[in-house]
Amino acid sequence: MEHTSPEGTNYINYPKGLMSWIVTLDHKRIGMMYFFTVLFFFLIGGLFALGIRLELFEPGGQFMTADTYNRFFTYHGTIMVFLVIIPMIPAAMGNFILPLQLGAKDVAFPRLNLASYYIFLFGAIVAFATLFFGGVDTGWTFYTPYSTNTSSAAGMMLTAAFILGFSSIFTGLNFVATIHKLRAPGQTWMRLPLFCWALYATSIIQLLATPVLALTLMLVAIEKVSGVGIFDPALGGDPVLFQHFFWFYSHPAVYIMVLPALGVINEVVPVFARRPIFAYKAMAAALFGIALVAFIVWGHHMFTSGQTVLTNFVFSLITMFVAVPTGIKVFSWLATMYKGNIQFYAPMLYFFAFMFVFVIGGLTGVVLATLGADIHFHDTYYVVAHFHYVMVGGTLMAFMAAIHYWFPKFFGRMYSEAWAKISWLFIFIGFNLTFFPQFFLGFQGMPRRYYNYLPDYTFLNQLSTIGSFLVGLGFFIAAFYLGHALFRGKKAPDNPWRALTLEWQTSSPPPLENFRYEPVVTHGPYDYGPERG
Amino acid sequence: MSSAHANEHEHAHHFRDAEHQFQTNKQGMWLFLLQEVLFFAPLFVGYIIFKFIYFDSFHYASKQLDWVLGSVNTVILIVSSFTVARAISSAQRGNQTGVIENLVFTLICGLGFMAVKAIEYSHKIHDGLLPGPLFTNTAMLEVAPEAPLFFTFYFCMTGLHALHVVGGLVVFVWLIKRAKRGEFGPGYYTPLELTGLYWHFVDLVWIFLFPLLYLVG
Amino acid sequence: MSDDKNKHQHHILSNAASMWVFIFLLVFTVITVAIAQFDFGQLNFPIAMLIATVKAFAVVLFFMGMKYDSNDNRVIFATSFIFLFIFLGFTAMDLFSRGQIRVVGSPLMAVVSDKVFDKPWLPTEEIVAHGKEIYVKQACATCHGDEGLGNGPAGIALGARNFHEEAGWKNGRNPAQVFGTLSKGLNAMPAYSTISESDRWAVAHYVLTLGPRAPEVTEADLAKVGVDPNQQGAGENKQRTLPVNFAEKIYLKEI
Repeated sequence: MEHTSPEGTNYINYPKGLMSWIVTLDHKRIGMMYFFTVLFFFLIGGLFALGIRLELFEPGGQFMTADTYNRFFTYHGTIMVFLVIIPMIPAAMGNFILPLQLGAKDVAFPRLNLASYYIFLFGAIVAFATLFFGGVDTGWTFYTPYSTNTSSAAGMMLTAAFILGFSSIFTGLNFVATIHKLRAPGQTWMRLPLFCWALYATSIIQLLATPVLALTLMLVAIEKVSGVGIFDPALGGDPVLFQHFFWFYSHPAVYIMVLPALGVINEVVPVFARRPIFAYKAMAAALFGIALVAFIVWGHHMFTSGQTVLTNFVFSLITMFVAVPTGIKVFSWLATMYKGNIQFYAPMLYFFAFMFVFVIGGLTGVVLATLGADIHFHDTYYVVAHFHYVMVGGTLMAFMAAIHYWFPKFFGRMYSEAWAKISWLFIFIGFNLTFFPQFFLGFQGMPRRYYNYLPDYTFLNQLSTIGSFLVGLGFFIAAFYLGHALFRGKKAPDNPWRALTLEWQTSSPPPLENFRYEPVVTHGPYDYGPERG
Repeated sequence: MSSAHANEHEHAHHFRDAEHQFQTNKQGMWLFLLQEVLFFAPLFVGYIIFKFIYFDSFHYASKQLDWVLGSVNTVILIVSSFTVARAISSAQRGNQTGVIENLVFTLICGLGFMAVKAIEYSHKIHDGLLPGPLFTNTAMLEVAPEAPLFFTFYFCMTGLHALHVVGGLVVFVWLIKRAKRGEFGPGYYTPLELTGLYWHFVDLVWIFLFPLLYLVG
Repeated sequence: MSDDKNKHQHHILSNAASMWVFIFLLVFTVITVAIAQFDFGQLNFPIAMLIATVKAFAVVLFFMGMKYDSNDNRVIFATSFIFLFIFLGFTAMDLFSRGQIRVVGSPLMAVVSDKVFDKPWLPTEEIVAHGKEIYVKQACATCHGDEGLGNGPAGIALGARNFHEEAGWKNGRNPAQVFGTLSKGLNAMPAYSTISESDRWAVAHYVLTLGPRAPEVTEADLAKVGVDPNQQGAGENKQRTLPVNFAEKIYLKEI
């Protein structure tokens, strides 16, 4: 296969032809395939969310039965978790940007990378196929004994999640090998962009945690089909064991979602504050601190499940510690802005949104970690608000920052800043309007995953629903101006943001082989300062 | 002692040279094995925990396993690890016959392992010692009420392991074909190295499975 | 491209070495089986795992070439086991500590009793006896003490009422007032509105027998707690739920 492209071409228009995309081994093309696929699934997951909020506009059934409602929140959760947020930043953007930032020509295993994508697609197809077999109503958490006894298409969904898990594992495997082995000469560990560090920590989590989920789901599927299982008390098994197995993955999974987001923020803040990142080493170490703590706190999802008091105590205590490395990062970002020269472009606006939203999400996480409080809050809307604040607020805001930051690099075009700001406003206000009331709803005891509620909760639910539609509108606007920019945007220069990481030393978009001239590393990735303005 | 090196063989464009590619591929396999450890983990964790909770039942049920056949299988796998290591060192020395013979022997060992497993499984089926609700040996339930759970673990763990063995055997068939075409030598033997690592891992899992299920169950 | 014939030499496992490792593994397999014939009680499991680990090291170090490999791969493989142990350790901690630490009945756990008393504001022997039962079941003694002296382990620091005293009852000392206090809570005592009204009346009557004679209940007192003595079924247990903002107020007071 050719690896030198003609002058003036880029990875989009060379090589030509549909087949060259379908069997591409180019990490940039694979990244783009993920990008658009994930956005499509985000749309569908979002539609399920709007369905939920519409139903919850008034107490009592509006246009759904309880069973349908159960399916709505299951699909919303499953799609958003497995098809959107987990692959979002690593697969869509990591694939594209990682080799560029390392100065590499591709990821370590390009064929495995393509396989990862098709496995992802296949898993997604199986997941959607469940809609034609009665749908799934177990919640994305598949708790036994319901998941083993229900006649819904849960078995098929379990299989889909199993397949998707391997896509995630292979991506993680690829990234670790790439970061270990394919750094350009002179690209030492201490000169790595923090986005790479974040992807490294994420990939390690993917490798360690996902296989446990895969096997666990397989065991549930076996128990569904044959009755043979280890989660059924009648057979001597234990349903809480399922929860241990499930959350051993699913808690680290939320860090698979959040760490790449933190990585993006690490990239964006120095560029748009024109300052070096504060405490680079601590920032890198904090990523690993978070990843490590992530693995030893899973029981905080099970405080009311019948875990013993000792276990509850231990998990509650350890969970508190995740605030330390996270706090290091939050304060370091603030410190990075000190005496900076803030550029109020869309990526920076999304950083500000991220800070506001992620800090609220994080602090409410500490509240939930408090054992006594969680007894009251578990399975209420307080939890729903918390995780949407960190996942949507955290990861999604960072994703929007990343889209705007790297848009010129991906597509060679500039987007409209004015429209970006308008969309941002709708998304930010809408998001807070959707989820802030939910803290109060949870505090007042409104349970989650119920399609009905006491009349006392109506007002806050209505606020929340209105908020959700504002968010939807914001994303709709985003789709428009970004879509427009794809085809009609101003041509982007190589380095519109005057950033210092390697991906900006090649053309926008990059050519097939990433760099036409050997990239020269003459400075650290964040050496912003007065001379660079 | 001679040495092998892999820098004459062609390599993919994103690597510096063939050696770089070899080392990266090897690391890729180690990363895959890392996730395999965690893939087997839930079964080991579940088994160890239930074993202590239902100590007597599991102990009794474990005694139903044929430790002789289990030992035979352990030896078979150790032999196969030995032969696959020999296949690799043959390739490193350019000894084509050595490669083919050792690979074939490894394959035979693997098939032998599966045959012994088949015998074992057929005995269990005959005695009604099946997992969970399929367990029909009511007499045993009096003495060991949690025996069905033990056999759930037995079949899931040895079954999953057996699946991995079969996967390995399929790859060995392909490797033998390539070896016959003379594709492996000191300059290039990566597929042998990677499959060897995988196969040793399969052996490792059995090294722990055997005492856990057959001896101290 | 690169001129490093000497730099990239792969270690070749000599025939002798692989033979020795093979024999080592066979010997240890024999040891594994032989040792299993003896019973070391609690040590059976660790011994078996130890021997397996020794065999595993032989396979990993020599057959898998770890001894001659880079640090990267060593760390990678070792890490997987570290996390396996974390997984096992915490899960076992939960499942093995079951039934070992018992939580004594908490004052916030509602006791279920379906007894209904007609005109429960009247102190009868029956209702007092029932009240004593509930006092025990609901663990009121945790704060108020077994004899109602306010000297229960949790109550001393919280200023729990001593029922033997006549003075100092903030809301008053007739049965309706005590019933009202129980229903809404007072200071450190939570609202016991989740136990049935009959049970609350019963407890009120019971604790009042521990001190001097309680004052009589007037219609005004009854009205204050929402009871109309002339209405049919005035003593029946109404729905045992709290309005949401009332619950909120109580919760906020508690924290």
